[in-house]
Amino acid sequence: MIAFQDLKLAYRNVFRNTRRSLVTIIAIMLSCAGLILFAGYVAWAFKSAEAQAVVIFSHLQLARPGFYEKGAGNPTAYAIDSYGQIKQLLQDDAVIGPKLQLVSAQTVFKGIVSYSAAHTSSTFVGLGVFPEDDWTLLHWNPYKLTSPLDLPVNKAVYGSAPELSSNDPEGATIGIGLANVLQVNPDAKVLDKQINASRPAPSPQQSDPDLAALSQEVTQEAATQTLRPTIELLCAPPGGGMPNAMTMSVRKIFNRPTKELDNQSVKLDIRRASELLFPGEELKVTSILVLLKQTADLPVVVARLRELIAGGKLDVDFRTWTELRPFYNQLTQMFRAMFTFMFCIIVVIVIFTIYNTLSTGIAERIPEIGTLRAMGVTRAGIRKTFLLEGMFLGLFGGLLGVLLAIAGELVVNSLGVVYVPPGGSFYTKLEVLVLRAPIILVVCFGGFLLAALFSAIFPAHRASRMIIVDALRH
Amino acid sequence: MSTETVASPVGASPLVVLKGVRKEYHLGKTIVVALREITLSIERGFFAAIAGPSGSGKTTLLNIIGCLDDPTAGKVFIAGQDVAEYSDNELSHFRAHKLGFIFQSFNLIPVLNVYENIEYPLRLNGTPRKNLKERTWELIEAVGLTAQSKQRPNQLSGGQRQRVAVARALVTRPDLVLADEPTANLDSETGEKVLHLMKQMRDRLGTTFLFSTHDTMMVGHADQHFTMRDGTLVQTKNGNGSAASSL
Repeated sequence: MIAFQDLKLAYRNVFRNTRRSLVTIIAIMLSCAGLILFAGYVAWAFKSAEAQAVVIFSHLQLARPGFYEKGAGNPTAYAIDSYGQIKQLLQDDAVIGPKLQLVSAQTVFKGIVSYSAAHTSSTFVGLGVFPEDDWTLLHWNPYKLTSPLDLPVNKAVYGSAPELSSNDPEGATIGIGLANVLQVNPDAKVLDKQINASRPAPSPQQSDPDLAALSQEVTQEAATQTLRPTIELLCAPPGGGMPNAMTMSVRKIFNRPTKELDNQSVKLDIRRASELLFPGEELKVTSILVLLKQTADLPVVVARLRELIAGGKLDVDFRTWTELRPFYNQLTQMFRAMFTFMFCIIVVIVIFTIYNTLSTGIAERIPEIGTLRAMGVTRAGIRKTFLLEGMFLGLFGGLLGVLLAIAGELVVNSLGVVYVPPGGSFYTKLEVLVLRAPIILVVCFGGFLLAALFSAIFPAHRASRMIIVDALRH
Repeated sequence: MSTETVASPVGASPLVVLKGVRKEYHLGKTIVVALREITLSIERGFFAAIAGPSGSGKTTLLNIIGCLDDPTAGKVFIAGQDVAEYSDNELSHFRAHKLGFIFQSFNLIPVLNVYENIEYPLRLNGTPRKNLKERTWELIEAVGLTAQSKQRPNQLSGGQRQRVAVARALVTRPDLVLADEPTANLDSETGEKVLHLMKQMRDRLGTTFLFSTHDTMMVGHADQHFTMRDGTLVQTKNGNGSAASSL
């Protein structure tokens, strides 16, 4: 049992040689803070990578059986024509429904795109989406990270409005690489200048501001559409036969997550994609996207989906976001390995630091140990004293390390460093999550405390085994 | 108080009895004999001294009586109990309850103040909380250190430190206090005062004292004294200087 007397004695002994103990505590503090900040960065990297993957892939994608194995060559051959029913089924399900943030769909297809103004053409990968759903998906941010869409650097590229608009069904966006190949003018500023030049001056009689804004928006939309470059999309229908063609206007040019996609991507309203691929038919999609309110619900939803599929209520195959984005798992494994490696190295250093401090302290206190033993302190009592001293060193160093890490979090997060993380598609503000990931504090602090106790075991044991008369004679 | 001295384990109720105690140390292949077949007894309440030159075996004898060291041969009985039968933990418990120690270098715990140093053995032997203050203050006042109760050992003079050590040794009301050259690090006047204090405490609490010294002046204070030379008990005398036995 640890009595107050033991704690008092151990505490005072820790600060008996103030300079030595302070150096040890500072070493523990810096190690602990460094590790917490790195863990905070790793936590942010995980959450950021997850958010960046989910806004692209959603949590789950449902497709017709065989799509994931054979659909890459001809995705439209695996089109789903019951999107509305599946969406309804998911929303009405007692398990899945409450966990849903959004159910949407996308159509992936391939074809040839040409830009007649420049006499250029290229193959493309088309992605049909519901414009508003796409925007909702892009804003999924349950971890309250700084949204990439709030960063000026991203706003310059992505704008502050949805990429596509249901009010503009003829508008498509293309990847910057494809725009270069097609020689579509990617300079949005030119377009903006042209729009501003063509915009009529507001009428002085127009007093209603809402009406004025609406009028301006419609005028701008019209001006934009008339000034936008037009491209022609050519696709072979899934059943073969004559290719279908469609003219779209380029709303904007975007960076895509990968160079390959950048060189081939055309994004358009899913209804237009369906018209292009399946003219005269009802809406067909290649995948149904399921976005959950939180990723933690995914296992439950996946289990329920399996039940529905096994019960014959759903005839689909599905993939989770981590299956669609294997890079995430690679990233997390790499960071986990790095963190574990760093943790081990730092903990070993801390163990040796505390061991050295305690050993030196013991060497200086041999007669005192003899005195305590003579007075009736048991070997266990001596061990306890030195274990407590080690614990105090770990406790003070760890606590100060936690405080320093919190201060470090505030500093790093206020620096506003932005970069495109590996595998990311947006500029992202670099953050460390310390207070928002309290488990890191618990693990690191607890780890250092245990390391401190561990490092005290051998010196404490050595002190307890001293021969009393030798210790008194020392 | 009885002044009868004995060199053998006979008498009414001896507190300490040693029978043929021998102590050898091994220094490499050399065997050093520190004590040679010591046999003695000390009655309860005696103020006893062990005298002898350096290296005569005084400290070794005190260590063995104090259960800090084991004899190579022979038996040690304290309060009728053969201490060789005790385990290490039992010996610790025994020391905490039955013995008090005063060291030449005071050996106070530097991170504790006077009050805490004296209180420490009480906490160690599990004295009820309600008695801690009362018994600690009783000893602090007895040794005249009330004004210094909050001071740490490094703020005290040598004499004051040894008074703290005396109080610490007595606070648990042990049967026996062992003092190894308690005045050796003090000037003669202070040493005299400390010895006087020890004797005073013996009179007050009835505790048996056994102290070692090489100062013949100090021996005069003892009710009983043993003289050692080369690990052998050469003489045992009572307090008035008459030889009770010569070995």
